[in-house]
Amino acid sequence: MAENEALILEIAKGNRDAFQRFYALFQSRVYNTCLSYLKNNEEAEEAVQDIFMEVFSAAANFRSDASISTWIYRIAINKCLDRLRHRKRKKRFAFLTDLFNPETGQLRFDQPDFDHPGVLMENKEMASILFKAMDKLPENQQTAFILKQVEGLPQKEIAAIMNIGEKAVESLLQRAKQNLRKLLGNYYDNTEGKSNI
Amino acid sequence: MDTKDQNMEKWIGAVMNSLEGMERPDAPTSVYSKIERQLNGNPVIGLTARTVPIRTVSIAAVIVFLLISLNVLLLSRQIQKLQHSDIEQLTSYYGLSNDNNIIDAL
Repeated sequence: MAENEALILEIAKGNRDAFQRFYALFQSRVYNTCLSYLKNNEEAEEAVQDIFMEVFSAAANFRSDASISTWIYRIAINKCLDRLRHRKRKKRFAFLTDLFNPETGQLRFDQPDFDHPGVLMENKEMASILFKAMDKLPENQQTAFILKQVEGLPQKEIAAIMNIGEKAVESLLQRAKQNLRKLLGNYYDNTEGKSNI
Repeated sequence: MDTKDQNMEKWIGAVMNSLEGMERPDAPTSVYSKIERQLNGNPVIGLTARTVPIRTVSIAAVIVFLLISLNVLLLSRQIQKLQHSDIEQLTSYYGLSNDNNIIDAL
């Protein structure tokens, strides 16, 4: 823990080696979180770049009242939610631009099925359905669910990241699961008609 | 619960548990080199310019121009209307005709 804080202090001074070590420590958590929100490899890579650039520039502002892991998760979540909001805005104003990609002929803003590289092979298809359903959750439920189910964080750390109480996290998780079950139920009913969630 | 519901519940349970055993993937190695490049080439850290396609800008400009023109047109019409109705009110109040024909008025 103290080692990570020492790294941050070094990064704040502009030490690139410290930054590289910090990157090696946290890149997989950040990348995994970004993948879970954005469901697109290229966009997740871009988000990782943005997040670590922010770490480099904001290291001097880090206050030790939060753990480094909490701090970096907060940056990652905010960046990903910003990207998702930007994507939604683009989708809303799509009537002003081309709806279809001229090269592929596919809808520009339609997300294809997402294949998370960390999911076990035998679960890929079902996980892809779950990731699609997660998109329909409200932001805070989605965040709680990703941090718990994808990142495997304890409730206490999720509460610290989201700046809410542990009970609030529990209720968010419960509601997220209920909503997901409902969405999956509808999907199951409609699958014969080939409709999506 | 009939068989269909049972199957559905079983399927939902399987989907909900499909993330079990997943591992965190590493970011591709190219990501760190891109960050390094950004750090070397961009001294103003955290400020990355976003490009907006010229087509979007021109569409937005046309929409703004149309909105402003319509507003100006409607406002000028409204002002004209108000001025007319003011004169009509005055003439009716003083019992005057506004055709300037004094003889007829007498």
